[in-house]
Amino acid sequence: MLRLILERLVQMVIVVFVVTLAAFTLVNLLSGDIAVYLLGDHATPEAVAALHAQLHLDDPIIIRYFDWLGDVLQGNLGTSVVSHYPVVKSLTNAIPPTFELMIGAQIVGITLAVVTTAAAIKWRWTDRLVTGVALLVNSIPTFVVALILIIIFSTTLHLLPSIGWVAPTSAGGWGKNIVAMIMPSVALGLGIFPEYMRILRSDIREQLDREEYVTLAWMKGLRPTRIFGKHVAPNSVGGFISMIATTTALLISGVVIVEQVFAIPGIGKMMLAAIDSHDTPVLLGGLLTIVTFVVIINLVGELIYMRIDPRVRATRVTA
Amino acid sequence: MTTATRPLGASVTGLSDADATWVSGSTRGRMVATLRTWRRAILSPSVAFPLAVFLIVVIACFAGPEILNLPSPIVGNLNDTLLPPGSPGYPLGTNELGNDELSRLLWGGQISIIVGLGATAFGLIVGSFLGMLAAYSGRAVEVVIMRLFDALLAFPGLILALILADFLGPNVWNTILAIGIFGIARFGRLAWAQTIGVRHRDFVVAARSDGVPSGSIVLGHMVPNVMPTLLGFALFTVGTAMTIEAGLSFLGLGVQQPQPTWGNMIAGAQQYMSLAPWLLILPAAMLVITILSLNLVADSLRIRLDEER
Repeated sequence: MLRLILERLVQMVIVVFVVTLAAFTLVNLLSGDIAVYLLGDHATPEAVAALHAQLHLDDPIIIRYFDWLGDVLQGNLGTSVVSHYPVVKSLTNAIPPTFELMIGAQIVGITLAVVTTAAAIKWRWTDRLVTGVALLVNSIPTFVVALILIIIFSTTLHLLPSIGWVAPTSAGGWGKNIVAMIMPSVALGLGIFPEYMRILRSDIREQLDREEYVTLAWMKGLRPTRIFGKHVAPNSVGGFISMIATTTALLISGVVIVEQVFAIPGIGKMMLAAIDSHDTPVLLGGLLTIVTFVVIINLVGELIYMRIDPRVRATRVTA
Repeated sequence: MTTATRPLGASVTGLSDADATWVSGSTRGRMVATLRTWRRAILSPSVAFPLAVFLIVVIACFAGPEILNLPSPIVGNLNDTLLPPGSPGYPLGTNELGNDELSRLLWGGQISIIVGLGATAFGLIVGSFLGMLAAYSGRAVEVVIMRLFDALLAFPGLILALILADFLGPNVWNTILAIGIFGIARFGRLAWAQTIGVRHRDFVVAARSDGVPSGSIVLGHMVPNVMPTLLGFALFTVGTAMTIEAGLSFLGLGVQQPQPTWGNMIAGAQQYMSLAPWLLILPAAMLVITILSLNLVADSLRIRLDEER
């Protein structure tokens, strides 16, 4: 177990290294001459040269990458070339809203998945209804969901605000903050629930239909709650939990869109602005944060999976 | 592209009864049997209905503007802005620049469909090539390719697509490229897993010990076994690719106005949400109908072909 974790940690570091190197090369190759971009078309050659020297743009990419990596290891992500604001500060400002949004979305997604799965298991007709609804929801892009929610709850019913972020430290406090986060969380959470439900439902079905220990439990006359809680659930939630972990990675894409629609000042909005203004340090700092987070979450998901489902411990080691 | 020669979702490890008959049958007999299975599956109502809807959308988008002799989607009349649906001369109304909404919807659909299919094809071809190469070569090649897939998967997809689209310059081809790269790792891992499954099956080992060249083994034995699963997955991916395209256009980094796509039409309509809600509802509805029909085809086809086995 410990060896496995160490192995995974090494793999994690390699993946983060490869991704940041690829991102660094990609961004630097594609962005063209950032100095010309920043100074405008009418910049004097002297000014361009001075900025080149200041930003070390004349060094080979690989050297600049290791310079950057060295700084990163010391906790320095540089400053924005546009606003000259330290990237670390921008990140610490952007992380809380994004984090809250993701938690909210997971709560919505998991709740919906558990409720619909329970309904799907209980009756035949709800099963068809629920899978149909899941397929429909799966086919609606996140930004369409967000706009529909705004039309219904903000512009028509005037129930919820369409701007999604109120700092908990502001006058409204946490109450206002949470009310404002309802719609963004639902918009993002709806997108993930069909996948959750699919995996949870098929895992539970499989246990109920195929496994003999369930039949035995029924024959012993155990109460249904006990069969589900004690026997079926631990064997079924493993896939679901690793799903939650891998979905967090996919959530980032939705985060960019939802933050844009609801004007939430999180990482997604920060990245979008950085892409728009070719702000390389902010872009790389954001990417590093996201990739590290995704890789860690995946590892945690896998470990929990192994902890819960004893069968995996034996078979999954080399996967 | 070759059509699939084995049912979707076929098991790859061990030889089931169906597999045994399959292997022992004549080549011609096998082809006929497969075609029959597919025809039965496609003609079943749960597949045929959504498929028909999708085909109608495709035909309408590509042939509609020509047949209905619609005005150009980008040369509007500024005297006729924001007309509601049903206005004389504009069956679905006009947008804020007086462009015919029906014409924009159909032209916009062309972009969505081209990008959806193009990006899927790109991911499928590059991904399955790399995945099969990894599984077939093993050793260092496999390690490098699989770690590459890991890195690609750890890369937040939409952000990668946004960076590529922005830096390469937003147009149809770059959008296809940006979204296609997103799919490489997914197709690649699936192709790898499937190839691993057949790599040590008897027919491959037999061919190899007969001295059949690698190329022929891959094309003759592996591709036919791996492709059905990949094509089934590709059906799902088309809808995803269309969603991402719409997202990119919505964020302003896909195909640019005035050229319409469903995504940038929805983005543009946001400002007129209360004044002209149809500008938002129509493209959103088209997008959802198209993606839903595709997902239904993929889902029902999978269920059908599973049942056949």
